[in-house]
Amino acid sequence: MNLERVSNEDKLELCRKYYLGGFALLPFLWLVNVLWFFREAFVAPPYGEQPLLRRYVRRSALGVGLWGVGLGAWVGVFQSRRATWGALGDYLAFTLPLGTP
Amino acid sequence: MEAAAGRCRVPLPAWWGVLFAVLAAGSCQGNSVERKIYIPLNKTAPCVRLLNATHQIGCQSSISGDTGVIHVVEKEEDLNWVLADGPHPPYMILLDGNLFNRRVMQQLKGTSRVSGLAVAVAQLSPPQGFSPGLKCPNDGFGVYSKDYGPQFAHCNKTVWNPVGSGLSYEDFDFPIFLLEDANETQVIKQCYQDHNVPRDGSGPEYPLCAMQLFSHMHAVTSTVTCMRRSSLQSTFSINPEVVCDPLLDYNVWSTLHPINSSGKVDPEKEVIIVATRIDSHSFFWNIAPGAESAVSSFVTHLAAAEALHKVSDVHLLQRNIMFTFFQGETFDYIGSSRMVYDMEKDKFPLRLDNIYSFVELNQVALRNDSILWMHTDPVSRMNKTVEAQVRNLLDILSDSSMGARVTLQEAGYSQPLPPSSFQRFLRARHIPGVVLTDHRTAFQNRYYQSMYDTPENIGMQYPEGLSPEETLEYVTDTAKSLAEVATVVARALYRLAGGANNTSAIQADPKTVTRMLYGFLIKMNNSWFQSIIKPDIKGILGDVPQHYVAVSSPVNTTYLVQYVLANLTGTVVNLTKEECLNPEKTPSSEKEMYEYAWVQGSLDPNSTSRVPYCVRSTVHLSKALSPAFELRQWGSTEYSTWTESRWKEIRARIFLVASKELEIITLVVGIAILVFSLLATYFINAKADVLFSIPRDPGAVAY
Repeated sequence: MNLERVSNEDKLELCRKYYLGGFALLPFLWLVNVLWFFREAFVAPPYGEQPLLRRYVRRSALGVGLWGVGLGAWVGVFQSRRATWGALGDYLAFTLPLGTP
Repeated sequence: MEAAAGRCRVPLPAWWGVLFAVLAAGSCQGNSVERKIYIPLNKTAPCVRLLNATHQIGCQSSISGDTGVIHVVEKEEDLNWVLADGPHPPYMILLDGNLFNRRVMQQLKGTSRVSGLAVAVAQLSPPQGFSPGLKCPNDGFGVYSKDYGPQFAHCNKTVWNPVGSGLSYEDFDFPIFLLEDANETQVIKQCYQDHNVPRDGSGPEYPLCAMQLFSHMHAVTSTVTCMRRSSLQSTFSINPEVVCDPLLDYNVWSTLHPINSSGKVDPEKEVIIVATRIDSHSFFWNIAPGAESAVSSFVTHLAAAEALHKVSDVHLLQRNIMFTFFQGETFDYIGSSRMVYDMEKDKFPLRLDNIYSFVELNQVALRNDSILWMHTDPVSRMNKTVEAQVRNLLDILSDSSMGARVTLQEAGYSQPLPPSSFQRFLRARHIPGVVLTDHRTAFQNRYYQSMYDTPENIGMQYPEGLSPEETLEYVTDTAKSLAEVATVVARALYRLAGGANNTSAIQADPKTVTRMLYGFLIKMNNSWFQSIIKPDIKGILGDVPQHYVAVSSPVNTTYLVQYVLANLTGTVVNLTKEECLNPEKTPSSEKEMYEYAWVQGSLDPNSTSRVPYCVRSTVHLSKALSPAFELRQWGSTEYSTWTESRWKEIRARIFLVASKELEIITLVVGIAILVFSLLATYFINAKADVLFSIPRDPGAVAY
């Protein structure tokens, strides 16, 4: 969809849907929201819906940032500590590298 | 997994792309460039990883193989170069067989300057003895524990295998291979001499001779971990990758009087069990000659079974005799613990209550002054009734040796039973029993569970210049002496079973014994073995005999013990091939009592065809898989938990390596040329209209 051909109300509606959709444990919606509407929210000349749009984009960015930190920390802990967890580590893993504890 | 070993596979996942797959496939088949660079070592045996409830033992390389500059170590001083002085670590050591001991290995284990080890087999067995097994074999899985004879637990009274270094039970994080072929060892030494020998005090110059060993193992940590991973994988993975398999095989058993193998023996019936183990082990995978530790005793057992079956009034004996050959006993009594478990769970025709007494043969070839020691369990003998039964057993055995050239003596109350299958039966019930061995205290065998437990160890000697056929029939002194033991055992069993007649006619045949020794120790592919096996398993013959229990079953040893026993104790029956293969269709066959085998027979002397026939015997197989796996108790301390890791490839090769500088220069020059050619192509393409004039008018081309 080319945003240039969409009315400002529709942009806001779209951004709101993506923002709300992200709460369903879908951080990628927030990521898309940020990338997609960043220009509209912060670069484009001001227009009536912009402040609200800006708020959604900001919050989406915060959400995806927290998700990133959380996931990154989990991946780090899992990769470095899995071997010491024994059975639990095996149950949590989807594939296990052969020949490593 | 044995199928995978040695065979070449593309070790990359499919998504690595076509280019990589093609490259890997190319390296697999060995194109001409590869053949110019690498010399493969074909006659090697690896050390592989085994696991039990708590530990991993054995060796492994990294996934892409471990490489190092070769250094030949023939004296202990040569180690200094590897451990400290040499300028090109890591080193791949070619170790002389005589230096393959605990002290040297401990030094190599503690350094990162060693990437692997190739052991050249010593021409002569080390005179001081060599056993990579434990000082106290199968400790913790026998009968003695803190609840049963605590003073005897953990070999407190008698250390059975004092030369045992326990090397087989260590974990090494580098690969170790055995070089079986002296010619290949020579090739490596030559390569070392030409390139790697330090000259004038300074280090050698590149290129250097290097070796690469591949033995990457899939299982880690313990049986608990690897079995859990295997079972997790098989429950929800699309492409399950099993990482380890339990050691398993089959026990071979047969009875003097036929019994219904699918029913239950009457509780009133008394049975005497004769037992031996049929497996051995060494540091290296699939090398387990076990001449003294297994073959001497099971061959004697087979000969005794044959002698008893020949007795005319055998069907009148009041007690039955069961000949039992246990597999996997080396690994914490796999076979016997399973049979006891089956008897307790009523999954075996016999129950423990049927057992009248137990006689075990265990390492009988290396006797001093022809004395055979009778070991009994001092703890169960404290019970009055058991003591009386054991006394009777000992007396009958001693009487049977009268007039024979074997003397039987009691080892006494002061020490426990040596490691034996009988201990597993004692764990379940106070059965009167005796273990016959050639040692009173520590083993006579100085090569217990090692690659040097060879025919020479039990004194098998043949005159020079015999043809294979003559060697098969030549009666060695070892065969004669083992036949005497078999005679004594057979006579004693006859008496124990209630036989009243004179036993002097019972005689084991040294000719059979010598043929069995030859077949099980020197050459399986001999005319006798060929003639007594089924035609469809003749492929198993041909290898050098070895008696490792392994994970695929039945192994050669099990098959051959089964067919030899059937041949020695069975009868030839007049059935056609169809009747023999489907005995249930013949009403008179008594399918439940007997096993029928259609064997290929011996070669007709005047032609190339064989004369097959049908053999009827009471020889059966019963599963020898540790109950721990049946119960899924992978951390069991009661039952054996040994598993063998899987692997993708095991191979070894040598080649010349260039210095790091040269390698880096080559790589950088290569990349520079690539970048240059890309740039050149780009510019040529951009200026194509200038560089290449327009060709002739296309309309003028004559099509």
